[in-house]
Amino acid sequence: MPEAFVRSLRTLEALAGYAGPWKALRDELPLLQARVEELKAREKRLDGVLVVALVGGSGVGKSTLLNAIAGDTIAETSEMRPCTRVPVVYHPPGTRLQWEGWKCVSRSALENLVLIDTPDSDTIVHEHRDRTQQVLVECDLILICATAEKYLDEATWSLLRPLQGQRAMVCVETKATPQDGIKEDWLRRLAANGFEINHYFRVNALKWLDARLPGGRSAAVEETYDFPKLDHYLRHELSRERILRIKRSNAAGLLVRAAERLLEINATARATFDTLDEEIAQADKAIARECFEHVRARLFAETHLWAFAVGRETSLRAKGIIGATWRLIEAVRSLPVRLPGWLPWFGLNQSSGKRTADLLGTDVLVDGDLHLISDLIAASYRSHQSELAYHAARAGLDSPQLDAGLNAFDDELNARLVRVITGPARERVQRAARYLTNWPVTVLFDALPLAFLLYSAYIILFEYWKGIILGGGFIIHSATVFFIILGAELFLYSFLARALAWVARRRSVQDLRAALYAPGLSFKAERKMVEDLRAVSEKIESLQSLID
Amino acid sequence: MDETLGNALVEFHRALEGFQRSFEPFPLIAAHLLEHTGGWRKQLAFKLLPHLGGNGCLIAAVAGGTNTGKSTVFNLLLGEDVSPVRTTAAATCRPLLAANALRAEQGLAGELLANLVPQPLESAEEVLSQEAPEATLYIIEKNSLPDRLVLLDIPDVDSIVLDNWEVARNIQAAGDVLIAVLTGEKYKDEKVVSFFRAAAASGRVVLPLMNKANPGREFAVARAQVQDFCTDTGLIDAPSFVIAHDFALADDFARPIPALNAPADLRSYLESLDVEPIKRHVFQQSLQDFVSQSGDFIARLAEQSGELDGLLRDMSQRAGHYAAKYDPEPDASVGKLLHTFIRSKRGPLSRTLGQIGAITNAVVAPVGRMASRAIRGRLLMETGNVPAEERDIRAHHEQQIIMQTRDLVREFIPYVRALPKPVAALIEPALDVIDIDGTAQSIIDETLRGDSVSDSFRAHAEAKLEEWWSDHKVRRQVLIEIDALLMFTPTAIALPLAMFTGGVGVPEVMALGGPLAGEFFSRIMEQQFADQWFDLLAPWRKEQQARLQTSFENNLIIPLMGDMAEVKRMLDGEPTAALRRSHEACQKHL
Repeated sequence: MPEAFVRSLRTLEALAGYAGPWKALRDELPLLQARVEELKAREKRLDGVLVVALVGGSGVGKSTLLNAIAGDTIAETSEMRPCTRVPVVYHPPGTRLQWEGWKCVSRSALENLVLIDTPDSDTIVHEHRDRTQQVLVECDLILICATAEKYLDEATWSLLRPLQGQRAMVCVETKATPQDGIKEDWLRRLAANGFEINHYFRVNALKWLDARLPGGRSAAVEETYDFPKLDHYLRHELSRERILRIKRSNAAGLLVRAAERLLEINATARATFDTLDEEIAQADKAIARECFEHVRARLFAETHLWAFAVGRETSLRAKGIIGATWRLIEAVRSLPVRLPGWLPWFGLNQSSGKRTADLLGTDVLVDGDLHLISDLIAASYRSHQSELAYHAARAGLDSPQLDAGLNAFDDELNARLVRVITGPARERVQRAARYLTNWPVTVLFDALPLAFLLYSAYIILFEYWKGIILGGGFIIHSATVFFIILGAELFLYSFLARALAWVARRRSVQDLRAALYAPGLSFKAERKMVEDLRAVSEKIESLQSLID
Repeated sequence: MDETLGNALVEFHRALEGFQRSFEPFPLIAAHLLEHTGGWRKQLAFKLLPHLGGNGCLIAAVAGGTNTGKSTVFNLLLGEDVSPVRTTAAATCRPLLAANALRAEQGLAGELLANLVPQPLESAEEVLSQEAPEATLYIIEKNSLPDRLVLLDIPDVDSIVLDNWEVARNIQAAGDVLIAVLTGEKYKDEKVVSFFRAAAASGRVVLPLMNKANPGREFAVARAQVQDFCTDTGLIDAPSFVIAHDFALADDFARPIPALNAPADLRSYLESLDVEPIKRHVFQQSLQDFVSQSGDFIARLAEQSGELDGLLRDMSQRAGHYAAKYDPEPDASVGKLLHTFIRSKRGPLSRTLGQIGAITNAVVAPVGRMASRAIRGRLLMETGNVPAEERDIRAHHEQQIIMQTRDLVREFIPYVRALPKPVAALIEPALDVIDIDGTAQSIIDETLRGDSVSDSFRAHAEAKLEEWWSDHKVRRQVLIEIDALLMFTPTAIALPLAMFTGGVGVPEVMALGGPLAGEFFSRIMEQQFADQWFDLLAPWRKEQQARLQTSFENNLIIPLMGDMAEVKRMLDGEPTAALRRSHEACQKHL
């Protein structure tokens, strides 16, 4: 078998096991499975033995034809209809056959050829038709036997129509008489109905048989018409290569038919996948926007939390006079939010603001029960999901399980938020703290109070050297000035901290936007479904090139 | 045929036409309903209605499988070469009638075979062409035929040209005598046998004729074959005829067709047949077939209507299922019911306080709302649980309704696609063009319109509360005392404070603030009671759900199922009733 055939067969086999939501494809599966089974059976039977079925209406002389070919009375013939009840298999000795209930005669002189005489296709005995159908499944070449009366019978034609292109077919007019033949009309009608006929033989089998049987009347060869040709065709023309070619072409016909059906389904469905993709992308964007607005208007709108976080980060790093004072102030200032942590019975009351500040400032990661997704977003998610499911149903797909995606979405949203908060956002907070606590800033801030202290000390020492000891008034005065300087600097420091917190928050909002707007936030299940469908669709597409 | 039966049949025919006309907009349903009715409709059209016209002459048709020699037999019966004979199959496509001058004239006037369009045969080839309308009947004048007999050559019943079967069946219904042309190959064929079995069952005289028979041993084989055929078709003692395969043809059409098992040759036998009894018998049988089968048809219409009804109910049930998923949040007006009730039961002092509170409330409400919005802003950040405000509640409801509508339609889509084709075709067009957002919007408008508490529900709640009030003496005391406590406490605190603090305006503000706070607290408490003690919300929810279901029906089910309801209305209504009436009239004549 050519490689393309084998690959197509494997693809079809994979498709036959499809169990996804594509309903139109699933409806097709029973037929596809049957075809794949048949193809596999045919692939295995690619030996040099050709199974030839003689098919036709009752009384056209199928059995007589078989007998004539065999030159002996193999099959029963009679003038009473119907005559043949079970298929008669005429095969060369040694052929392995596993057909039960059929009459087997193993003394054919025809090499590589198994001839099967079928029961009729058209009498009131319906089992005969069923048996004929079984034979048709097994055979490779059909000899359509007919007479002037029966060549247009619907009963026989309806058996052959589904096998167009999948079986080699040869027409045999069995009761040729000197009168006008039916050849032209028959072939014309067959061609009009899409049949491809390889050969046409006009024979009179009875005359031939009569001439062969002992005691029969001898008949002139011309009275048997094309019978010698038919005989020659069966005996000599059907060489091994030819048989293989017939079998391959049959299998290819079946394969093409199966593939064509799938391609047809695929062609109608492809556009709907595109629209679904687009709809998912739109819904995803809408959800991202809602989430972004939601989080920005809540967590990221609270400036004081950011100021708090920057303040704490600063207090951890602060050095020098101003830094030490800042630390002290921070410790006192954060007491109300730290206290609950120290006192276990307060722990229950931890507000989410504190937790967010923790998030921004410390290594404590988000605890498991922190779900930033609100009822509003959940409702909106469900609404979008129901819309997608609706479109999927319109496109003829089974609806995916609703509610299932919400948890995945929740997890994804939380993961992204945590990534923003513990990543770039915290980075910005820490950077702000580092700006405030680096050496130049510390020195700059400490320079003025230190200079003032040195100046005061210088005055005291200078006056002492002059013999004057400065009184309490001077000390109080300088202390007041020192504290005024300290206070002013602390005010400036705190202002800077707030300004940096503000900048950090504004920049983090951009990080948040980038993180949430990245595709793939929501509708994972739906996206996966469309991806799977596309994969299947591409598999079907690949059949096209293989067929060509 | 007596007058009244004729009228009844005409009446029935008219009713049937009316029925078909009324189903014209739904061709698939019409085809589905009329499936398997071909037999009796043909009997009615071709045998029962034209009965008067063909009076007194026997219509004998030559029928059989393709290429068995029907036209040859026809020519032999006439004694001359009239119908073209071809060696190819399915040659004759339109029926050809031969009759003497009188009958031919009648035939051309449409009196012999009504409902077929008569046309004189101009060239013999015409019967071979498929171009003429299916109901064409070619007529040729042959004066060798007696008055009492007309002969018909008809197309085959088994070839791949399905049109031919239809034409053959028309003539089967119209004919009185059918000459079954058989051959050794075709006497057992399913299509052939079933054609003649039906003819025999409907009272037609079927005469087997074995063509191309082997004359050996006095036609022993042919005899056995005819016997077989008679058994298969249920014929008893049918006279049979035979044509041997060596029967000379080309030159000599005048030879009679010999009997196989009959008193005379075929032509003489046909001429000797007693016209009246046969016609009466065929008519009676046809009438019987017609009445019983059309009766079945009418009974089946009722069944179909029942099925559609079940489908409509099923759809409504699904809508109900989705409506039951709707979970509306009560707004203040529901919770206020108990409060209003208790207010009417208050003593004079509490009532006065409550009235002051209510008046103050009306004045300061806008300020209060602003404050509440500010508070909500804070709460939002802290807890994420948003206290419902009227506007949000409506948005929440809208979203729920949109989702339920969409889910309902989404469930409909595969459900409808899985329905039998003709029924699905009634719903699918509407389902394909449905504007889901527009529909959802009109459902929202209808469900959420007006007051969320209907008058009937208010009456129901009041009755329930009144009943509780009279049944629970102790608990009602508790309730009224809690109410009084909540009412008086703020005032009781505010008044002394106001007295001691003094200052312009402060006492007045406190005096007004006390009752306002009291009214506020009592209302909040009693809203809780309304739900927990009296379960006022459950029936309210149910009412809202019923409202939703009604608007599902109005906006979704009815537009979607409009065609189906129309079909059902027709099935239950006049077209069927007319059929039933006229059928009963026909039945009386059996």
